[in-house]
Amino acid sequence: MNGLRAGFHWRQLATNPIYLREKGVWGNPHPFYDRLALLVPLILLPGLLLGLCGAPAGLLPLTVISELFIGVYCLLCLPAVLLQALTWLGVFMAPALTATSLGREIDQGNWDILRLTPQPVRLIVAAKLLGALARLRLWPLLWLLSLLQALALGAGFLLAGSLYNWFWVIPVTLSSLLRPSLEIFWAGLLGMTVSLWVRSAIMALATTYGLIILFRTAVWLMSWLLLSLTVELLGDYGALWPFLLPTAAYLLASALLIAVLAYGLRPWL
Amino acid sequence: MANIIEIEGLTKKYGALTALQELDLLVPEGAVVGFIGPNGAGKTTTMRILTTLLKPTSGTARVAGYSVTESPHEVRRVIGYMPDFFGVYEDMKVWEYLDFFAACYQIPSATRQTMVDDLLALVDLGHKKDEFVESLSRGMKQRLCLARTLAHDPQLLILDEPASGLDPRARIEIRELLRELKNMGKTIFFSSHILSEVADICSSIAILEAGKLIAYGDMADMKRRLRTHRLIQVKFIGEAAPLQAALLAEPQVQAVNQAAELSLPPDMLRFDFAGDDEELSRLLGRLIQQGLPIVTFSEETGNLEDLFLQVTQGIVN
Repeated sequence: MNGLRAGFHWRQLATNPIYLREKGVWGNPHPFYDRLALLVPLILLPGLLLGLCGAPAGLLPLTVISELFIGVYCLLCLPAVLLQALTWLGVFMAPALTATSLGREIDQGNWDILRLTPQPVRLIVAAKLLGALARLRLWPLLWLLSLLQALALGAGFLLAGSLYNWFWVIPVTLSSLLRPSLEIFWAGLLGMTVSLWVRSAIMALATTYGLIILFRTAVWLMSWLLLSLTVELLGDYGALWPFLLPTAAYLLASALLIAVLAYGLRPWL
Repeated sequence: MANIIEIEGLTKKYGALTALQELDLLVPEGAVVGFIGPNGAGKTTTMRILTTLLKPTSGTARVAGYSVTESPHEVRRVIGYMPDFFGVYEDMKVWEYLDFFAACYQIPSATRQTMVDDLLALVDLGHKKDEFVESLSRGMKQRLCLARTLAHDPQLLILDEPASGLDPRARIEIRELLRELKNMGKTIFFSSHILSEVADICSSIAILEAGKLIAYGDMADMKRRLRTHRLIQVKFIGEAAPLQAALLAEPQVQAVNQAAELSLPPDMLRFDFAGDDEELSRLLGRLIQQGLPIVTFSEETGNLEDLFLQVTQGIVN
């Protein structure tokens, strides 16, 4: 377990050459991403539509419960649409950066050369993933909108007062804050994991998009199914599923993908 | 002189297939060792074990005193490896490629620029510094890759088929570069299918077949050791028959091959002689005394191809 013995140098990640290479300091490792970036307006359009349909809908159950949420709903509506669109864009673009990452290195014979440098394998993989994701330019705006939504949602819950135990304010706010970034991270991680097994760039990307659509649909369906099934049993608390379940699902799925990736990298560790 | 590579009882199995079998090999510092053998003989497997990229099934391999299995990081610091199949980052400029790998080897940015210039000058790519790697010819890419292996100033270079797929000019350039590296004091352990190239630059050769080392040593020694008889070529005037008869009458002449059998010119023949230089000299004297019209009389030195064919049996894993 050479990679483990060598340890991690997370603090040095920002100056790690592999991380910087992914960001484009040395050459441009992601020409396909650049071509795809030209289509951003076309990608944002369905994102905005999805946002218009999806984001406010997530808040709708609360408006039924309390009139106070109607104000929150209106306040959150536009930033929420933009946040949904940005998340959609990130989820779409992240695999374009990562789905060719490891497979291409292995196929082109550069993987062995990188492994012979003093960089531990786990750091190489982490640097490639995080460096590729850092190339997305949407993070500052995404984090700002996530914060805005989380704060507004937290405030809404506090204003709802007796409807919910105050205990739930923290997980709902945190969940709302984390979910957009987590979704994009998960999509990038999925792309990288798929690229270990599916070496053709196009196939890897297509497989990743297919899995993303399946997973997102499953999470969305599961949230609403649980809401409808438990609203009678749990009362108002049943309405919390759409807020908590997706974040938990993405967290679990990310942990699972990290385990799968580590398994796939086992021969080189 | 200390040994930079020490291999003892090295075995590698892939399931039922034994790629390497009880390999023993010592390479002294500063040597240039040509590692030859048929396809599937285990050359790349040996090299990948030495570079820590592959774990042996049994046996030990040490590089500069470090075990490849117990101290892989120390081994990696003293070796420069060029695989037989390698990619170069075609989206980078030539200087960026070397700068990136130098950064991966944790060479401080302050010294990297000078180092990149020096390496490019060494491999004669200084004029291509600001061009994209994708615009380089295959030979240039090979030289760039060789420069990359030198980024951290390793003691030992392990090169797997460094001249494969190159045109004659590019092969000569690589050969000259290896000579220069040899003069710089680097130990070079390289495999090749181009035997003339190995013979030109290496001080020793190791011949591997079916995972076993079947011959290893100094080039001249190996040829001497493996030679059981000498091949003598004679150019003559007129008919071959009298000369042939005279040679066959000599007890130390074992066989006489006529020109047609060996694709030689019609005024030449070759014979196997089992004697030393003095006996050979006396034989020549006797032939001249008999009035045979001999124009030239010379010994075939034998090349690496002959040696290779002599010791290998074409067994492939």
